[in-house]
Order: sequence, then structure tokens, then C-alpha cells
Amino acid sequence: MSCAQVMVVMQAYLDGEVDERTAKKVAKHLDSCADCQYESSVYVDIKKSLAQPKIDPDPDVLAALSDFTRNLAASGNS
Amino acid sequence: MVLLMDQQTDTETKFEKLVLPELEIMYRTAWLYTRSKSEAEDLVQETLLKAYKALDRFDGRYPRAWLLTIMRNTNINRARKKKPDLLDDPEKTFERSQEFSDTQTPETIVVDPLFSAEVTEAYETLPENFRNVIDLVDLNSFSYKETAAKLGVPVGTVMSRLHRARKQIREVLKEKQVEDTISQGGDHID
Ligand SMILES: [Zn+2]
Repeated sequence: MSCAQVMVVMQAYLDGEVDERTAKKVAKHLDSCADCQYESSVYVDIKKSLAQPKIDPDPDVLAALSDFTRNLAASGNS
Repeated sequence: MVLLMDQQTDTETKFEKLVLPELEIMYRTAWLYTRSKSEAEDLVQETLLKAYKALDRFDGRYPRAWLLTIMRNTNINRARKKKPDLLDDPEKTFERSQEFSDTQTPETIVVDPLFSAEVTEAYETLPENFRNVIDLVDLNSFSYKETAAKLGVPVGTVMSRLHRARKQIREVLKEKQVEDTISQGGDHID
């Protein structure tokens, strides 16, 4: 498998959505190609980040934190 | 005296300019650390206090990385303070210090918070039909087939939306050179 071919199936591979034969080929390529290995590690981290639960910050809390910041800046005891 | 006042105002403006655009990201990250709204607010405030004290040592580049590094250290200290009983037992103290020698809090944080913050921000800019696919596959661990059924679109559409969405996020990270910043580390701030 070439790097270009690996990149085409990379995401499906990381999602566990390729057949066994393809998975083996990709794994073999990743073992010997630092560039593709790096790309795959970035995509793994992207997936992990997206898998984290998200909070929608309460506007009141953000407003309070903005005030806190302004007061702190105005306090001048740096 | 006038000069002093001007300097004061400069510092004031500089701090606000640096911090205000990052507050939302800071709060989101603090929530990932603490999983509690009130503790997250506390953690952000404590981080801001430390950042303000360290302001004159900050070179002004990439405030987000600077602030999130301070937050990470602040959180480690908070977690330590929460377990004072362990300090009595040298063996347990050692275990603790091993545990916290890791740069991230176990369990709640799985990726570098800065990286994760940039991913979240890029995700927010994606069109809704891209975000829906990401939510199902990455957040809820749906298969492509299940996602397709749920959204009533062909599997091919799921794949193309999902892959394009993540690729777009990847491009944003590349543009911002997030990985470079992370690998260079910003760990020397207390
Ligand atoms: Zn390759």
C-alpha cells in the first residue's frame, strides 16, 4: 500500500470500518512509515477530543468571569 | 505619576486583550478537568490570578497555550491539596507524586487540553450536518451503518461528511501549528 492509498482509508481504518485484509495492510504500512504513523496519531487525538463530552458554558458564568478578569486587571497589584 | 498611570492602563488593557477571548475555552477546559460547573469556575479564577501575576514574564505569543499551561499546573496543585491525608504516609505520597508526575489528570483528560480546545473550536465552525455525523460516530460510538440509518442517508454520505469534517479540523490544526506548539511544550510556567 502506498502512502496515498493509506490516507484514503486512514479514517475508516481508525473507526474500525475496513475489512480485515485492508486493516492488516494499513497496519503493516504504519509500522514502517513514520509520516503516516504521525498522521494516524493526529487523527486518533482528534477522535479522542471529539469523543469528550462538551459543556455549553452558561452565559452568566462567562459574564462573571469577564468581570473577574476586568476587576483583576484594574486592581493593578501585578 | 502620569507615566505610572499610563503604564498601569497598558497592563490592564494587555491582560484583558489576552484573556477575554480565551475565557470560553478556559472554562470548557476547566470543566473537562473538574467535571463540575462550580469547580470549573474556581479553577478558571485561580488560573487568572496566577496568569496576572506572571504577566510581565509572558512574551505575548499564543496566549491560549500560556493560559492552559497555567491551568494545568494549577489543577495539579489543587488536586494535591485535596488529598492532604496522603501526605502523612511517605509511601502513599510517593504514589501520589508518581500519579501527578503525569502532565494530565487521569481519566477526565485524555488528550492535551490545548489540542483538544483547538479541535473543539474547529468543530464548532463546521456545518450542522457534519457535526451530527461526528456526534454519532465519535461521541456515541455509532458505526457508519448505524449512523446512516439514524440520519436516513447512504453510508457513503456518512463517510464523506465524517472524513471531510475531520480533515477540515486537521487543516485548522495545521494552520495554527498546534502540534508544533505542543511538541515544543510550554511546561516551564508555574
Ligand atoms: Zn506512508
